[in-house]
Amino acid sequence: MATEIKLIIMDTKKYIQNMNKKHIIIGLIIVILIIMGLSFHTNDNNTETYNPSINVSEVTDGDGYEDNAASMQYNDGLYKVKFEHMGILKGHMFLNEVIFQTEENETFVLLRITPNMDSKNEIPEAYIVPTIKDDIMEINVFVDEDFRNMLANPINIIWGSTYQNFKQYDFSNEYKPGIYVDTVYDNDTERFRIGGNDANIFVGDATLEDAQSQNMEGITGVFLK
Amino acid sequence: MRNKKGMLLLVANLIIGLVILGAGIMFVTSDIGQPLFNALNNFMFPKLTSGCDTNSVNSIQALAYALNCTGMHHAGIDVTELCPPQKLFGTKVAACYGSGENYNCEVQGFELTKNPEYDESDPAGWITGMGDPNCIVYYEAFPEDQAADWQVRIEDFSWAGAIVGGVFNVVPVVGKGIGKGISKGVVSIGDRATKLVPQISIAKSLYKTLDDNIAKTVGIFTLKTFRNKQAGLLAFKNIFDISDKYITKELKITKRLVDVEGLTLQAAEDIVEDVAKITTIKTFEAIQTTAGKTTFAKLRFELQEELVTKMGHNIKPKELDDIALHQLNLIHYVTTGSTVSKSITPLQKIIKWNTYSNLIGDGGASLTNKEINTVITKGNDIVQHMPKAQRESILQQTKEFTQFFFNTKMYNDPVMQLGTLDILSPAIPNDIAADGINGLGTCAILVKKISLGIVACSYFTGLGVMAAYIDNSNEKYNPIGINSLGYKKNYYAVQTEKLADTLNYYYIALKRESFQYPKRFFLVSPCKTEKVIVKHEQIGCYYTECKSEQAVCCGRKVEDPIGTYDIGYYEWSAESDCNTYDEYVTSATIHNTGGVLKRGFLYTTPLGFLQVLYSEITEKNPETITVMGHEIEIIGEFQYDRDSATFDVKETDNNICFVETGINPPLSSKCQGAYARSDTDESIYTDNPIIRTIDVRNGISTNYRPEGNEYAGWSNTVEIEGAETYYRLDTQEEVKTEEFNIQAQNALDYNNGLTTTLNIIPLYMDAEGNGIKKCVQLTERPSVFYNPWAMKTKDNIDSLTVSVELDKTFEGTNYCFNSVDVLSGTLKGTTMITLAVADTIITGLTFYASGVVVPVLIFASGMIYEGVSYHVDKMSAWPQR
Repeated sequence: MATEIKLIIMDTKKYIQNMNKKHIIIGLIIVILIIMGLSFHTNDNNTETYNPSINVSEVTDGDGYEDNAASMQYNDGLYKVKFEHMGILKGHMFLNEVIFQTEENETFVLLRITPNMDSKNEIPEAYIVPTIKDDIMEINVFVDEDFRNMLANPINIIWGSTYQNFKQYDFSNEYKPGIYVDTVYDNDTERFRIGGNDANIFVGDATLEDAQSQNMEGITGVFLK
Repeated sequence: MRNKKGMLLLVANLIIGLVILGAGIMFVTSDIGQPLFNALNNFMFPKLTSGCDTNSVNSIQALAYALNCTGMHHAGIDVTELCPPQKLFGTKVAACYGSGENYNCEVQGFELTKNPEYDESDPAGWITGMGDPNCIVYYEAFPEDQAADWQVRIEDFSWAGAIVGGVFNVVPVVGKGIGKGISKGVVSIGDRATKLVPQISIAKSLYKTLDDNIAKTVGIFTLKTFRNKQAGLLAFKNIFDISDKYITKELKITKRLVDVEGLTLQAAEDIVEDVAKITTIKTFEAIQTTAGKTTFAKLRFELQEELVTKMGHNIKPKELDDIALHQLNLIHYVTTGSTVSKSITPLQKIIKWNTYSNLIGDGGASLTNKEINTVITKGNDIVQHMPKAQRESILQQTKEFTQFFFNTKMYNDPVMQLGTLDILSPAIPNDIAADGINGLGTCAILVKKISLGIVACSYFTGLGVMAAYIDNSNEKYNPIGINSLGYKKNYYAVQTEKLADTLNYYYIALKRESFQYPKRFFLVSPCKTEKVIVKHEQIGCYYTECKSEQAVCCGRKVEDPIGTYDIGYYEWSAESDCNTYDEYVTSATIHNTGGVLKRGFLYTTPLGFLQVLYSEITEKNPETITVMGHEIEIIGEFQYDRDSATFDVKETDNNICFVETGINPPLSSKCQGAYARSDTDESIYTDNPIIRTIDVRNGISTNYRPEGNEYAGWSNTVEIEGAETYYRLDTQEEVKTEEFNIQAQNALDYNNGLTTTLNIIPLYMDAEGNGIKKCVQLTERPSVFYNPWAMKTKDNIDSLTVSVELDKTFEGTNYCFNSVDVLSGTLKGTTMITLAVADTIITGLTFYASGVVVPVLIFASGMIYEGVSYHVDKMSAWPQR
């Protein structure tokens, strides 16, 4: 019996000696990765607090909140409106974000609509938060540094029930580091009183002519409807 | 001797089968048998039942309560007594809390699970229910796209068919006279060449036998499903007849090339393949293009020219004639087939539907070459008169289609391609038919072109398509009714149980993941939650993709040969152009979809009755309308264009409801409801969601319900059906007549003489929705139709949203709304396919068995499937699906 145990021990030793060092290293890496993954998973469960850089509730004095899919509910007791974002990248419509995948399967977010902006993540981001005060809609148009850098053309804001208003984006007001806000106003809020209607706000590289001719081709930006 | 014995056995079986069948029919139709049969039927397939267990039913009832309380509160009704803070539904608690805009209700521990007592033994049910959750709850109508993961997939059948086809090709059919000595599909070249002749005879015999068996099977599958069973069976017969001849010719040519010309089998097959390719091209050219000069002589000439150029003397004139004749049959078949036109291209469709109404009447049997030419010429003219953009789009699709078909590697036999499509019944939606084509492509790739296998494979694909069709007839796709919450068993032919007749007027949406838009409310088992929360929120509903200030999107509706209407395509244009129509169009509507959606008006009474009146939105803005004697004030921008007159409805002897002046209730059951009418339009209001189409004939508003291709009289009974709207353009009289199906829902209270007011609550209803409210979300809009610069594209409507907090503590799949149960679906699907394969092999081998075998077999398979599914559910989901 003792001989057999000895033989087994010898065999095991021989097996370990014969093992390719590369296999051991790979094995160790896998173990480390699993531990890291488990650790990440555990931490992930503990970090569910969502604290976006643009707090919709705060901007709207508690009258609005983020809803599903880049949309927000607004209800100040008089106006009940659901505002919905949509994006356009070089003429192609999208909803939350546009992801580009290279042939090597690398992915990049080309444009994202989110209130949780990060000016250092190299992702162009934008978000529009309207609020209605004294029957006038105050439209806060947020963009980050990446959004500013992405568009070669001047960035414009076009708004109004028929997109009749136009101005070039003013980057002088930095809401938070690398995040800008420009505010415009819309007096025609009656249209939201009964049943609601489109907000019709755009930030991006379209011109007023584009808006009037309903041209989508080659345009990049974010709409709030 | 063996054959004689086989024949005797066949006759004996048939006699026994007939006796049993006859006795059975006599019994179940007798005074004694019928009640018993009904009782048994009710026991096995109870009408008002669902696949939900008691806890689920309690959960749903609590949810209905939560929805009603929340809705009523936000409508301004005092719910203090109606909705106490907590109410028990079995073990489920519904709690309402908060005030003002923050008033919400929730159902704690909401869950949906399968009713363990429920037994599905309906032979059709085991197909239609494949992969479906057993307990489903939804608002008004089930969102069909949600069921995509559960639907029967044709490709599963074609793969199974490929396997069976392969078996037929490589495994000798054991004994049984005709099968003995069948050649193997995979053998040496020389071996195959020498066995071509016996293979032909076996193939022919087997075609015949398969044909019969298929017909029997089809009969079972189609009993309750196909609108035109005979057409399906006839198509089956036709396809096998034609393909039998075709394949026989193909094999004969191949054999001659090997035997006489001394070619290798490979070379001979290549030549035959080229023949198939050229004939396919020529056939499609003949069908699609020419100005009506395709004749036998022309086809022969063209084929001869092509084939001789390519193959020299390898093809003999007699063979060319045979091929040309065959192809002419094919052309005839294609141009007169009932389903093919639906399944090919929009171009084909346009060519077809315009003339099919006449041709289909007699099944095309009397069609002459001249008539075919007329079809083609007329169709060609239509194409020429179409707007350029539409024509180009259609021609592009045609090109893609033909490229697909011209790839002979996909499938060599055009008869099989097109003919099998025709099997697939006149009532199959286009996408299913398209899947059918793909399925056949799979057959061709996997089974190659060996005839026996491909027939088996095609047979299977046909079964798959039929199964898919049955699945699409699934009861869950029938709207449960306006303002209702339904829960039901999802199988075919089992009635839906409507839990609450009227919840309230709010649209109910399900809030899903944070990155998803809300969706029409539904939940399916298994679903275990901490709670579901009902809130009053705004939902952005979009009119249509095609509305803007400058242009509208016209949905061009076309009528197919069986009288249903599909939107052929959309086009952007000025509204005035939207109303133009082609002189060749005999039955179509060019409708401005921008005006299709209707808004509803909340109709309130001092008693707190909440009802909704739907209307069209137009430019006219009268301040009041009068319906059933009640003057209704219209306020705000949503005004109603109806004249203030009211009209009574009278039923005539021929089941037509005429609108007359004056009020004289009660109305007849067929014509009940109140009509309001103006000079330009007319609408109907009823106290039931009734489909009625209105037509104007000689100034009299008349109800019509089109049937087939004719102006048919009003149907005999009031129907509540799925989404349908009928339009008609009567070009014979050069009068454009739109038949509106204007929906009223829970209309006006007949006995209510109280003053009423309208609160403006915009609701949405699709013209095709038959009163089912529809809130089109951004993600549901095809991007090609959407222009973000468009103005006034949406309204924010008051709605009730249901948020689900999943119970993450239990083990197993928690479906609810958010994921596909891949494991369960795969296991069930595999079981299904295995059983279907077994069924086919057995039916294929029991040639001489009587018709009793097939139903018994399918019934047994259904039971096995359900048994397996039960255990799969138990393993893969909590606690059952």
